[in-house]
Amino acid sequence: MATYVLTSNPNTIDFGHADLQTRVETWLGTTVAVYRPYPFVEHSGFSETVREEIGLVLFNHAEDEPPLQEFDAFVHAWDLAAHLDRRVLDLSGGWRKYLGLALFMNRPMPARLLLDATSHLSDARVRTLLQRAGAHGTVVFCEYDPPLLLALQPDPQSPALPLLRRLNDDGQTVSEAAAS
Amino acid sequence: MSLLDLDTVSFNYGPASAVLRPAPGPVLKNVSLALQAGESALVLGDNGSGKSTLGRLVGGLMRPTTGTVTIGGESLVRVPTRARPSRTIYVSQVSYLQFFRATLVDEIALAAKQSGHPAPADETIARFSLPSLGANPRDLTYPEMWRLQLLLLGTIFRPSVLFIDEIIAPGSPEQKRALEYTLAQRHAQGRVTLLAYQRMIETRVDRVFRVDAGTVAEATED
Repeated sequence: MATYVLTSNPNTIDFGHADLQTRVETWLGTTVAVYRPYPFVEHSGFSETVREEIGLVLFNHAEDEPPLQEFDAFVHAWDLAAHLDRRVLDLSGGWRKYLGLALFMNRPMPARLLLDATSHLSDARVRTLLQRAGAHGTVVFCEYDPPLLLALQPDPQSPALPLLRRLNDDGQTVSEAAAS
Repeated sequence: MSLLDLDTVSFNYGPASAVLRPAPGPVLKNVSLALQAGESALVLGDNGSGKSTLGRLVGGLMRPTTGTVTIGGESLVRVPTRARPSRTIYVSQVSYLQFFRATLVDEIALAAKQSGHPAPADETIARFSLPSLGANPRDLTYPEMWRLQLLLLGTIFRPSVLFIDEIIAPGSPEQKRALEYTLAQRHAQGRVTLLAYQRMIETRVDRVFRVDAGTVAEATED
């Protein structure tokens, strides 16, 4: 398990194409589940509150692929307790995106490619995402602003952030960058 | 006199589903701030702190529950909807929903026509590092869409007050160049620009405000 940050020219990242996914899968040697850069969630539409939305998603995944964490553990791990009784549509843009990311990360997958996952998120939300990513298999972050992620400092009150390894993408091949 | 004034503004989204849910508390509480002509400001805050609500109030998209928002001494609630874009514009986080034409050149022409201002010169457009003017705005990357919005709204529409909710990749050279140019132009024109983001940026702004749990305070130390 490792957490990577893929760096390339942010103006040429092919977020809309499958090529990047193919290059990452080739390098990892496994398929990846892709979080695409929908700016906001985008909830199911079958629920009203955050509590109902989480319950619905966990229930729907339970039969085929049990989620990594059940309701209470999930809510605790992702700091969602204060929002459970709020309407999903009343959440701020950043919290809606974060909720969608959290639910995506809770599915059991060997590897994930997260496209533009951290824009709109505050440092606190990004730290939690990184901490959970480090515990959930291989994760590749592909960001418009990778230095921001690489420079994020740990919060002394929170668990340590995972080591971030850098990948380069030259548009043809993904490779691991030499440690600096 | 300030160009933009918020006087003890509070806002509550109200009981959208009061039968089932308790009414949420106020999102903004007694917010007062004033910006002079030509000033720029960064509005910092955590997710859910109230930055976007502040932006929608400044942009005239919502009315304060109590208090007033005035631009140039005129209360926003008195400004007719059609006249509002010349006074104030709120650029939402979903800027990709705000394009109307199939090419950049047509999008620029539309903005010029609707604003009544001339289309910018080629050298001005070049400062925004956009791809071919024949490209579809919806095919741009998110940072490119953001720069296009800066061009359309900050440079062509050039309202007295512009509130940009979220900065995409503020560390990239293209974003910095476009943002610094826009802020410099708007400063010279005596217009106010507010940027909402989660953290400090390198681009210089005149003022910094922090939004925290519905209150807004000016940051002075950094």
